[in-house]
Amino acid sequence: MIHPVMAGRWFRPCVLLLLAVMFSHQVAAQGLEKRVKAAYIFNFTHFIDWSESAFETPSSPLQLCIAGDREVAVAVNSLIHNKKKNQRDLSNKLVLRPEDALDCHVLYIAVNGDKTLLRWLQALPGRHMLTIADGSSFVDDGGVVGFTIVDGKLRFDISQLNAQRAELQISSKLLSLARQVRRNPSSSEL
Amino acid sequence: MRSILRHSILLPLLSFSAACLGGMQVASLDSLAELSLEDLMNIQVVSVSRRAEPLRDTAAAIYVLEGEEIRRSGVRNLAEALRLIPGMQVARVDAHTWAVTARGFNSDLADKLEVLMDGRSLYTPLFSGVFWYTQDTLLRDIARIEVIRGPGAALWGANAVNGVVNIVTRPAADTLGGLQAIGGGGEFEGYSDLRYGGEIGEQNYYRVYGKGQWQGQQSATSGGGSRDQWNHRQAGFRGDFRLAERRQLTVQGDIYRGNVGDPRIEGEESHRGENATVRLSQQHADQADTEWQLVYDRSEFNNRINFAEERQVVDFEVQHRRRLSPVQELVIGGGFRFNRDHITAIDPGTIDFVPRNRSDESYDFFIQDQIDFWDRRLRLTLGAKLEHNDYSGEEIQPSVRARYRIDSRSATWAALSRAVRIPNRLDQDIRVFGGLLQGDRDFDSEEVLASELGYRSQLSDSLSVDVALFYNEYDQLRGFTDDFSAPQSVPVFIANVGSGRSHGAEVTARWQWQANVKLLGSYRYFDLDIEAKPGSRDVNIADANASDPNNQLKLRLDWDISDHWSLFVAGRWVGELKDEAVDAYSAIDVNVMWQVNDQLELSIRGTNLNDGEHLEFGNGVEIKRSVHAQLSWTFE
Repeated sequence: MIHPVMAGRWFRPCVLLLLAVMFSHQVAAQGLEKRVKAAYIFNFTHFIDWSESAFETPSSPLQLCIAGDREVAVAVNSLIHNKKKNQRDLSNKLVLRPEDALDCHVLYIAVNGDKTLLRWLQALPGRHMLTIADGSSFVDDGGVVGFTIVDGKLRFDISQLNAQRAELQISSKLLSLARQVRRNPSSSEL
Repeated sequence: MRSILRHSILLPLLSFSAACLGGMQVASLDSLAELSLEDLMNIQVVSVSRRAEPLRDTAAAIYVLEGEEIRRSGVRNLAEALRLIPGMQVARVDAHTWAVTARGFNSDLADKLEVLMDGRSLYTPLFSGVFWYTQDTLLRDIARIEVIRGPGAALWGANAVNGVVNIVTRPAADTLGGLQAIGGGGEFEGYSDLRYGGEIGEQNYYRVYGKGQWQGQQSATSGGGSRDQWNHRQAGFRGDFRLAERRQLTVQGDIYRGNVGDPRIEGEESHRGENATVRLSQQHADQADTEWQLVYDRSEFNNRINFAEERQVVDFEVQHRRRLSPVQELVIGGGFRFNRDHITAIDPGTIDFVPRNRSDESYDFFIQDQIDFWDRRLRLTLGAKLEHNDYSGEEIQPSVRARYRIDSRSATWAALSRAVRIPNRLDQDIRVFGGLLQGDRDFDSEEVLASELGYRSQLSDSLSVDVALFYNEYDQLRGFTDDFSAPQSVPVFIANVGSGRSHGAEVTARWQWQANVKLLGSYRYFDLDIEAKPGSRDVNIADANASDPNNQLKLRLDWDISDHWSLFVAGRWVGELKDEAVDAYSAIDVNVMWQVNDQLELSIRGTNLNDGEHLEFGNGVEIKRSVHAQLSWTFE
């Protein structure tokens, strides 16, 4: 019976490596597209201003939330480490249901299917919330930023109307970098 | 002399690490935090290869198992992953053997399925089936498994009579950083996975992986252990290189070694192999793309009872896709395949192959045209594959498919196709019992004419259904010229003496009950009748048409309990296999995952929890209940 011996010989270094890893504090998301999305989400916070009424106290953190994608959440977590926005700490969390997302200032909704996405949007108050999702139709359905892939590169669309409804101030720099900016309801039908 | 040797080893290593340091490194999270929006907009996140068409637009019974579902289910090998797929028939024969098929004819020598991993064919031309214990990869690196039930020969290949399994691994850009997993308990004496992926130069990515898995024996029906233990060690790599804006090169390969136990022998069977694939894809400016692929695959096994085989395959394929107009898309392509084997008879009196060495070639050409009508409500897909091979000569495999979109939420489809199962070494060259039973060079392809009808609909925001009906007519099925147990004339030859019909229905329903709770249920009815043609004395063929369950039910629950806990439950009920003398059984598999922190994940998986042990296939062993634990973590 050679197997248990071989397995045993194999396992000792594994356990040692495990201990080494448990004491290190680096985090990792595995996919490039997800890493880049996380970097976008973090970057958006530089170009958007929330009013003071969006926060409970002057020291409340800016809450970045990710729905449905642990890898993006993990990457965002490592990007916001020790970073601040207007003296506020950044914090992030993974949310599973719309009702867990009521205190979020940024919400990236990584769910499959337009219908599920619409249900999320309908369940959210929307005020003071930068909603982000994949697909250019998201900005027509009530969202603020929609990721889209052009020639294999990640770009984004913005609905200025939905941003105003959510009482968000978007800098002109961010608007200028968007692939498309929807300014009023009728323009989405063009 | 020694220093020269050392230098010649060190130099490439040095230049490799220099290459790693150059260029704009975008893969690491530290550097991503420093990048501006303009920089982010210039990162190629998706390779140039074409995008898959939406599921609802396909005129075939298709199911896509996502890599994330495989991870959450906790399965540890390819055959068990296929079990999760609605309509697939997967029976575990013993610790290391699975009988896998779609739409009938299941056996541990099941031969009517095309199985591909990243374009490389996994079935052996020895018997046109898959040795599932020799085929593996790091399951966490699988992007998805696409399964088509029913013929897919027009585009996919020679063996796609009853289905196609297409395993697609993630691009290297999607497996950055390190991953390690260890586990053990229950049927697993132990296993470990290790993978590391990174960036070379500017926006070129690679990964390397290694894994080893040791599994214990199951339980003999007569009592005691079944001595079918199994181990498999494998390592491999993949590199994705961006040669130009629209040109992508992928190089990948694997090397593996393994042993399996067999109660009939003292030692263990052995298997080993190496393979390499080079794939070049070019996207043209005018909505067209071309892909070239070259595969080299070498495999070796020795079962130490009756024969050993060494095989080399070289396969070249080219495929061109072009949008001719907004409503018409054309795919044309062709391939060449060279195959050489060497079989050693260990006990020539029992099993031998004549000749023991055989080389063969095949080449093929395929075309598929897809046209949309009536504001894209109706889509017609016409396809055909023409092939020449050294076993059966010319073959033509055409198909006609139509899809009609009833409204924005539902569609119906129909298809008519002809496909063949090309003869293999076993059919033509085997000699059993010193020539009492012989393969025959005149053995020709087995044929199917398949009619299919389907319907899929999004019934509500959270509920969708998929229904497929099929009726297949088979001809030229493999059998014997005589009753093998009481022959009137010897030798008995393998011959195309069977014909048959199968029909069935497959229903799959998905329900997103809550944002964090998904349910999937599938039911399949299946019936197959095979008979020997008039004039043949074969009685075995009619005795072996009930190796497939008439009824099969699968249920699945996928639940994110909290942001740290998740639960995956897969249950199945499989009807009796009359000709295999296997009773109906049910099984419940559960995987509980605890995300301890951003890196560390702990999971416990239990299989066959409802049942101490049960038989899944004839001449098999009892599959035992098993519980194992796994620890996995990621690192930069």
